[in-house]
Amino acid sequence: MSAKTAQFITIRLSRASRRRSKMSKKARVAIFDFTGCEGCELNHLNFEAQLLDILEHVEIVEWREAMDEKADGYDIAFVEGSLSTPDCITRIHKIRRKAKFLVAVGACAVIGGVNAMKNTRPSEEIREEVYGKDKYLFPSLPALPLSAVVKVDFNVRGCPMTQIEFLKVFTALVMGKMPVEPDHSVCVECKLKENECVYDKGMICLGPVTRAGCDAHCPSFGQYCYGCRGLVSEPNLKAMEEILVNHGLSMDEAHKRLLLFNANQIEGVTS
Amino acid sequence: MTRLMLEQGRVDDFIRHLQAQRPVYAPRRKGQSSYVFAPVDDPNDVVLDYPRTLHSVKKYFLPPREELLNFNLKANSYGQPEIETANAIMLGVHSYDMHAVLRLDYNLAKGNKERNYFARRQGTLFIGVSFSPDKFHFSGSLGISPYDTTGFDLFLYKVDKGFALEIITAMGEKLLSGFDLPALGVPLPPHGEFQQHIYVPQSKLSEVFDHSQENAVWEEEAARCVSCGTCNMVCPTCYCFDVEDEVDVRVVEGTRNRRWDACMLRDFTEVAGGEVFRHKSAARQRHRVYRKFKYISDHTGEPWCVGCGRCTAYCTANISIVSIVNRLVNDYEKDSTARLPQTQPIIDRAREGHSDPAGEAKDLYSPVMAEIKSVQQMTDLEKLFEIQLPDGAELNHKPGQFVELSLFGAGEAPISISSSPAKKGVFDLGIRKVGRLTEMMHRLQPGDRVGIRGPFGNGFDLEKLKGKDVLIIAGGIGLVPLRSLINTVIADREAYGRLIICYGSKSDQELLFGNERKMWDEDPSIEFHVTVDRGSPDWTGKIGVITTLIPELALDLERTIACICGPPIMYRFVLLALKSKRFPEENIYLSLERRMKCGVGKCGHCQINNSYVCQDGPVYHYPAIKGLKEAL
Ligand SMILES: Cc1cc2nc3c(=O)[nH]c(=O)nc-3n(C[C@H](O)[C@H](O)[C@H](O)COP(=O)(O)OP(=O)(O)OC[C@H]3O[C@@H](n4cnc5c(N)ncnc54)[C@H](O)[C@@H]3O)c2cc1C
Ligand code: SF4
Ligand code: SF4
Ligand code: SF4
Ligand code: SF4
Ligand code: FES
Repeated sequence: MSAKTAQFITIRLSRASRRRSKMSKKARVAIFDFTGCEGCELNHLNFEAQLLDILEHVEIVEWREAMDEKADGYDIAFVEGSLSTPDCITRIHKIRRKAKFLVAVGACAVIGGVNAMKNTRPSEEIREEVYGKDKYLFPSLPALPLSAVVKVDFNVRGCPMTQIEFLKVFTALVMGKMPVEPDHSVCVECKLKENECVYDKGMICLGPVTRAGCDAHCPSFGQYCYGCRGLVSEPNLKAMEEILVNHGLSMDEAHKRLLLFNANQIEGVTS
Repeated sequence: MTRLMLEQGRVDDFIRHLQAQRPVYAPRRKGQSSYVFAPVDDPNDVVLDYPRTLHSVKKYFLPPREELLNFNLKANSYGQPEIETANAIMLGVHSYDMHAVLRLDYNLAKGNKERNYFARRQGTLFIGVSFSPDKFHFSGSLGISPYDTTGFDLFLYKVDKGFALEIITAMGEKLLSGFDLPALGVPLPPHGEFQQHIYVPQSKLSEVFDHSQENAVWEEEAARCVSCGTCNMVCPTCYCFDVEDEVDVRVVEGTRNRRWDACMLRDFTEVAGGEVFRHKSAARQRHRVYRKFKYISDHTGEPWCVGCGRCTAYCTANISIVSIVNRLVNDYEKDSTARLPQTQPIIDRAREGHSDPAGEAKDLYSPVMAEIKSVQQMTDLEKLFEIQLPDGAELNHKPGQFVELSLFGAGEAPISISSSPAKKGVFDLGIRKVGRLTEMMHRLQPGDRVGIRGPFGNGFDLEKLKGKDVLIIAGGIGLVPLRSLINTVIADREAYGRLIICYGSKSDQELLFGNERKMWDEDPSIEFHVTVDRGSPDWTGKIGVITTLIPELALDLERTIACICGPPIMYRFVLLALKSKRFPEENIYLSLERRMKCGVGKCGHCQINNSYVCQDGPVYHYPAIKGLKEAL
């Protein structure tokens, strides 16, 4: 994360103030939901174990069920889903105005995503199904990432994002620290775990140009990375396509494979 | 040479015999066609005939992920996890991977001997096994044959019906005791032929690399490279790492973790502010290959690539390090008219020797907890902190040196020591708020405690400055380290000639050290010049970039030493301005900034060619770095 984007949050919970922990010092948090597959919905994550710890640091002032934005303002707004209707655009502007720090949660919010992913970790069949249907590659309504419309302060990536990662981001924000957003390939994490590369099994994988952070989730289960976390900065897409072509895809297939999650980034909608 | 015969049928018994003495690690299958080292449970799982493992045994001494410290935020205290000596037997290691361990020993001992690595590595016994070169191995070209027994305690040669076992060390012999084997009756068969070669003797490589910085191959390969970092991650001689703090969800406890990092990644050299010091993929590819064949080799006389073939075998883009090197060799030989500085062939160089087992391994990553004595807001972005070490200890630094400042949960950052050594009891850190750690630092108050490691780096060589006119050229926050030098000169004023300070800043609101600037301005023994890029309405001083101050200076070129520090972009223009004044290059010193993680010459982030900025810098004599790519 470069300093340009490192716009810092004002939730001040310094160590000293936390020790004196008063209710009013708690960070005010709101959670909103736009068009998405519900895979990332925060209430679907199993937070019970951590909920008490979380509530010690924050006060949840608005929850996605409350669809109108009532609270006066929030320290952090977590926003799920992509924007696909004019109404969405109005709402996100309103949220942005009230939020000191806005976090896009999940691939749909971060990169527009594939608005068809299921709640579970996509299995091989679901992915084959998805890849087979062009309508998912090019949804009729353009699904915009939040950053195409408002300034986003941080991204929690992934489709779906993981609980571990969300908590990491959350903890960082509570500390008043910009969370770390990796800007290197999934291959790095894959190699740290000493996985056998799926290319060695005759599969293809987008790990080399996909942003790490999921701990190479899919390759660790013997599946390929389909790029759900978005691309690294300045990816060499030509080289990536060449790799895909050398491993058996046509140029057209290779391009589509890259567009699956990253159409918005590749077409220059997000950075 | 005693060689014994280990029949295939007795291999399992042999492994059990070893297991009865120590834990045994050996290769086993993983996935469809891969192999990994793993603790041996069932001897049946062990595979001694394998092409290569995904990772080398390095992973046991320098783990892919490792906890360096654990801390408690409430108590602001930390502890260290216990490091267990493996005390194990590594069975079935190939000769090139053993050579790689010896090279790691060198790197992790050089300068600062790292405790974590050596604690694990100590007492490990190695049993080698010969290999049949496949289409990726090329260790033969680097002087490492499949039968090379260097570093092993026992060695197994693949022969008909089993293995010829050779005892190399007394420890190896001891391992065998109680396991009787017959002597081998026949001579060893020749080992398999290599299919890959570097087509030049090792002794020539250094010379080839002297001429290859500009080769077109870097751009060509970069066009195909996806900068995934795999080639680094699998290399048995790579040891660079990154460090990051993690905090539990209660925001009470956390750990400082390191993980392997890769110089092929774009973010490897990125610093706060977005500057990337090896931005082009071609420059990163060159750096990787130079590190394997030139930079460290020039110190030790040995190539730092051991020819395992992993980087090539696992590169999805099929980029081959052997092809790159052969291309360089080819182009160099074609271009034989090139007249470039003569260097000694590497084979003639003295070997520095590998590890230094006698040296004491140090705990390099534990900070001392120091107290903030005062905080002063200098500008919107910068604060000045006075720090006191425990028990009133002195930092004993030189001007130009830095410390690693540590805040649990945020991490560490290199920060220059801004006070002169003449200031006793406390030292100053001037810190600009730009990112995680610096933000958090700005929230701290007198009485809060922070971690300090250091001082690190070389600092300015005062002997070179004494008796000379000192010209300080500081851009923006570059004044922070130079202030230490300025105050050193002021504290011992007679020892130096003129003191000329040129200070430039973006705007007058961003000018640092208000009180001191006033003193410098009023002191008749100091020539103080300030300029700002943009002035506010009430700014009455000079407006213009820092280079505009230089032409007006009346300098005695022979006896003036220039000391420069500022943002990366500034150096080029200041150097040009000095050049047009015919300022002698050998009188110029620059303090450089790089991404830093360790401060002690281990993590690799700060490297410029073969120089570690955290060790050999940050202060550089201009002629020494003038020709270096990536330096300025
Ligand atoms: C020798 C040296 C002396 C320095 N002296 C000073 C000083 O006196 N005052 C001052 O304000 N700043 C100084 N800096 C710059 C300072 O280290 C960075 O601003 C700081 O590391 C940013 O850390 P952060 O966590 O706030 O930023 P983040 O952007 O959150 O940093 C994340 C990580 O990136 C790395 N990193 C980022 N920027 C730099 C950088 N510029 N240099 C090295 N590593 C970096 C660090 O490892 C850090 O942990 C110096 C840098 C060097 C190399
Ligand atoms: S499986 Fe994918 S992520 Fe893992 S190393 Fe191979 S290409 Fe990279
Ligand atoms: S491996 Fe790729 S597709 Fe799978 S979770 Fe990670 S980034 Fe997403
Ligand atoms: S493994 Fe290949 S593609 Fe990846 S960084 Fe290395 S050379 Fe480039
Ligand atoms: S550079 Fe490549 S061939 Fe050489 S030791 Fe490293 S991984 Fe092996
Ligand atoms: S090698 Fe780690 S900072 Fe220099």
